[in-house]
Amino acid sequence: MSRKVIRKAVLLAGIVIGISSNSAHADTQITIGVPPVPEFVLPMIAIEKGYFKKHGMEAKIQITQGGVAAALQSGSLQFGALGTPALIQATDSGLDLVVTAGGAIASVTDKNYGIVTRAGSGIETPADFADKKVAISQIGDFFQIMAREWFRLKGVDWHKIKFVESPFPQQPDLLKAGTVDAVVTTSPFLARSQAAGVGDKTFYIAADLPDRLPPFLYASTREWAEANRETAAGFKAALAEALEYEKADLKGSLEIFSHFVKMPPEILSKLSISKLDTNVSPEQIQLWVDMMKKQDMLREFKSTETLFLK
Amino acid sequence: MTVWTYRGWLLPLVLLGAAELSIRISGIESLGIALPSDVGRALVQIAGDGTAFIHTWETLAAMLLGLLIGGSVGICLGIFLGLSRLASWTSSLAIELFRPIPPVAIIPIALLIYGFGVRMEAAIIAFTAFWPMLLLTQSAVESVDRQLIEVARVLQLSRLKSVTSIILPAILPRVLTALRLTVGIAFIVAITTEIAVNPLGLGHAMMLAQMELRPSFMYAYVVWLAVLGWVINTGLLLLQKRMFGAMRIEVRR
Repeated sequence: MSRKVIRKAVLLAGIVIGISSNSAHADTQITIGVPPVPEFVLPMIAIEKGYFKKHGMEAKIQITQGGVAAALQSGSLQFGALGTPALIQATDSGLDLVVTAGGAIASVTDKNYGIVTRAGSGIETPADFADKKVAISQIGDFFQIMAREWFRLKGVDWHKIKFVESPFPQQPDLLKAGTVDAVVTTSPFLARSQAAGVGDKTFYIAADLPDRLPPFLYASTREWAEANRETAAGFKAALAEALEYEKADLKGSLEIFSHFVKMPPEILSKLSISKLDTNVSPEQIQLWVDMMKKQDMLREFKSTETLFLK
Repeated sequence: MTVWTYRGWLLPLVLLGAAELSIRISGIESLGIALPSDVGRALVQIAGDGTAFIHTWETLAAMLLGLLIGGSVGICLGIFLGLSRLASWTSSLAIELFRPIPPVAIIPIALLIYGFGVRMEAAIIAFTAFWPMLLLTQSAVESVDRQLIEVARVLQLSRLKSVTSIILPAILPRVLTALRLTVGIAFIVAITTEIAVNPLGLGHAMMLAQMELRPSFMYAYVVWLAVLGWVINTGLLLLQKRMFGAMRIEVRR
């Protein structure tokens, strides 16, 4: 009796595992991992407008909250959006990933992100940040690297600043409650942090940072991209077509975004999308490597050339 | 049944009403809090359109699979270690070294091996469930009445036969208690895994609602999780009572 039960249980376990591994990949089936942020609308447009189909791909969006590099490595995702520093770090720690398309491009004129100080914090100049508490969305992510570089450029020792982790949506609350003295934030949360009685001064750090920084990009494993060169090239081409659509029709793009991410309409209508670019060069990625090296974040990173398929 | 029966609900309801009022009066605007009435509406919506049930099934399926694998391996090894002094003595150091590893610490490894999905979560839950089931089964076997084992010897039962007809029935109540404790831990680990990386189930739905700037839905899932946790625990308690009851009858016969 009990042996029968065990045999059945083992069989059942086998079936369940079999089912879930079955859906891994047919030739042109791709899954793209992106966070639920409008900057990642291009693959969504490419799905809805049939650009992926045109290039022989059946694409699916997977909304992720992290773990993209590992998910690429395991084959759950064929393409994933990664912060450029996260890609550099994953490569530095031994994962073999390559860039399959550019994502966005920052510019010195950007005013959609920055450091907002708390009303009454008494922070007037960068030097006043010493010993203050600054909220950051994720320790070690690209906003913190940019902030630290900005402090370095301003002659402030960032080791003296207490960075604390808090998701963007909660930052205005922390600022208002006086839990932190400043937040490193981005739209649509920037405006909430700047509201009267909440925020005081805004430092638009982009103005002092290198121009043409690529904040995020799309990556695949080298193994997969080498075996599927045509699909990888088609992916980039489809995103480029989606970019043309996005440039011409922001409203339509946000409408498509809302099919994948259920944001409340009143927030959705106020969203903007920062400048996107599907091209990215090793030189642009090197700008990040330089900053990260100064912050002791890399061990044996060799060359940004290796991040691209030959 | 009078109004007095429901007096326990008074305090929570008053607190909720106070929260509703203070948020409305202060006119506070935040992406981190929501009106209790909005949370209630969100709760009705996720229950009504079935999304909450789908996510619940995703979480429970991963939990069940993990418990099945980790639990059964744990029970089998526990019986073995409980019966064999030598095996228990040789493995004790290894067990004490591996057991304290927090299950969430193996999330990155599980993700690298299995990727997103049920398998990765089940693997972590199997790891979680394995240790308590192993240790509690082992101690249950060790405390089986020596006389019962003597009986098996006198009857000249084979190893397998003595395990299935003497040891297993004797340890069943304690194994069930162990399972009930383990299910509670597995539930926490499942939700944590989903909150951290795995894009399925109730944990992910909750995180997604936060990232989609819909705090009312985030809290609706918190409430849903609280109810689900209560249902699981109560269900297991009932099950255990039933089975104990049945056993008592059997003994009397």
